[in-house]
Amino acid sequence: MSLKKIFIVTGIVVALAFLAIVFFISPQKEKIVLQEQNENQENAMPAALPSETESSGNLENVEKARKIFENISRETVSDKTKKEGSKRIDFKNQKGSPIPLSDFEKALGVEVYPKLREYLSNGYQVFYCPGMGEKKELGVFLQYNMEKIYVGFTYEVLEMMTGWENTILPNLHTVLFPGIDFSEDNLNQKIEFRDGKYRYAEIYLPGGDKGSINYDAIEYGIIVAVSPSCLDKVHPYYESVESN
Amino acid sequence: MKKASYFQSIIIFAIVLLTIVCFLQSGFFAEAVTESSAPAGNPQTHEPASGDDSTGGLVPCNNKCTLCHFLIGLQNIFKYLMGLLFVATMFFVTVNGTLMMVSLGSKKIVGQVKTALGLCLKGFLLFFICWVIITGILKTLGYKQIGNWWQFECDTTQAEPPPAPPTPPAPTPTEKKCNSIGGICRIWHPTMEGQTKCEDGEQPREDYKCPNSGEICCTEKINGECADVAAMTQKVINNYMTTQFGLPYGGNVHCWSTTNAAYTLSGLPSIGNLRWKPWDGDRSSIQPGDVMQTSRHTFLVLYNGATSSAIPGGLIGVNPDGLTYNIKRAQREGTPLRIIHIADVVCTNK
Repeated sequence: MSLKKIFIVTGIVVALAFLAIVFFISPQKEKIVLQEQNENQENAMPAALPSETESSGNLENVEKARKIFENISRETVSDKTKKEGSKRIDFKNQKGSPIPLSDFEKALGVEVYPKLREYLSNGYQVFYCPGMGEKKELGVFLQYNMEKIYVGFTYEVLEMMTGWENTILPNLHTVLFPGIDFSEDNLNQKIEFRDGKYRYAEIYLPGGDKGSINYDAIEYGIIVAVSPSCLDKVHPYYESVESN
Repeated sequence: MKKASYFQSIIIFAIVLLTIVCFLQSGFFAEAVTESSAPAGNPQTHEPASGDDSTGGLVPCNNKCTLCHFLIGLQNIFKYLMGLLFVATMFFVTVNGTLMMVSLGSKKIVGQVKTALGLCLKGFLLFFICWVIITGILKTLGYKQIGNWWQFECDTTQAEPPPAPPTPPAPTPTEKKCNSIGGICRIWHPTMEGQTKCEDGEQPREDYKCPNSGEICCTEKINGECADVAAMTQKVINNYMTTQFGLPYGGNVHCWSTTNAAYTLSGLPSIGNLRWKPWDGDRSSIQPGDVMQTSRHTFLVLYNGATSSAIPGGLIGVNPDGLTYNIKRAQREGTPLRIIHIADVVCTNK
């Protein structure tokens, strides 16, 4: 083989290798960017919620859930969210699979009331509504496992929720009040839930401010939020409604 | 001559070995894919080579084969050949390299090795160029996920009815059970001949079975001319379960559309054209097949207190406690409930 031929063949091979690398890497990049966009995207409606089949106890999932929640806490409220009244966020891992509820619990130190937990699927969402100034009013939606629902569940779930009321603040404070450093006394304060438009309780926040926890048991799950107005805003996204 | 035959037997041995290795690899690969496939009950979009009917072979189906299985078969063949190409190339390069090292400068062996290596590289380069060309064309046409263009997702399920929810089972025509039509089983014995079998306002339905002998099925008396209400109820509910259940919520698929579809597919008028009555608050007046509506939600009443459900962002399904929930929801929202009794519709149609 002459030196000229060797040069030509080498050139072609290098060019092909370069093209192959470009074509192989660029779609991968696009895929990752798309995933990130999806995670940050404001959902027009709650995305298809995770199934029961996800394996839990995955450290990567726990870390990812923590990061997603940190992003939620840090991000500024967009004009779109202000216009829509709320933003709902799915927790998905690098592969785009939903992060199981148990990993979400581990990531944020959340503990769902065990009796209620039995009737939940792995479907959940964190949401927030624009509050005063740039503040966010946070909340969480926990979806039932519809296969476990039985006749009379509508009333019994209310009893389960009543059982959770005593510990709902220490169990959910990291999600509902992420920027606030609660002392033991603050977390163990006696809170009394009352009936209103939604079931609610006033709580004392560190520094003497007042806040509230509000929840509603709807057809497909439980919604907990830090204001009744935020519950109003997210209701249409979690309940069956007529199409407009 | 001896050296040439020795070289040929090495090549033949290598090809046989490679084929065995690649078949083993293919079987292992198929198994791994099957293990990672979504379990039954999940939305029916499958990764290739998954599904209950999977055989682990190149075409992963036994009897329930669809066009998707054929495509998966092609894909598996492609993957198999691609694997074979890489393994064969590496193997022959290694074998020829070794031969070259031990050739002791024999011109004949070196010549054969060069030819073999040349063919090897030509084959590999041919594949490589084809792959780059296809990827390039796809990229030019605007495809985004071209890193795995040979992989695709398709539905391997046949057009079978979606799986029925755990509760409530819709009765089949051969199992006409009294409770399936909201009837009450009352004790009756031939010695009671002459006495009415059912109570006032009820009618006996002897075509529906009671669990115990000596009992007779009694249903609310509607009208002597409307005896096929139960059959129509069953048809409506079956239509809901077979055509609407499991559809993804969104767009034109929602609570009203799915309820309406159950009616129209059963030959009944659209619920938009039927007369809604205010619900009188008497729960016993609600029968399976009836349609109810709050100001914001429409649902079909199924058996045993279950209703149709439409989870936003989820699937069309069944809420086993839907009737209680929706009555409570209407009270909470302070909106009246309206109802269409299927019995009224069927009788009016007659």
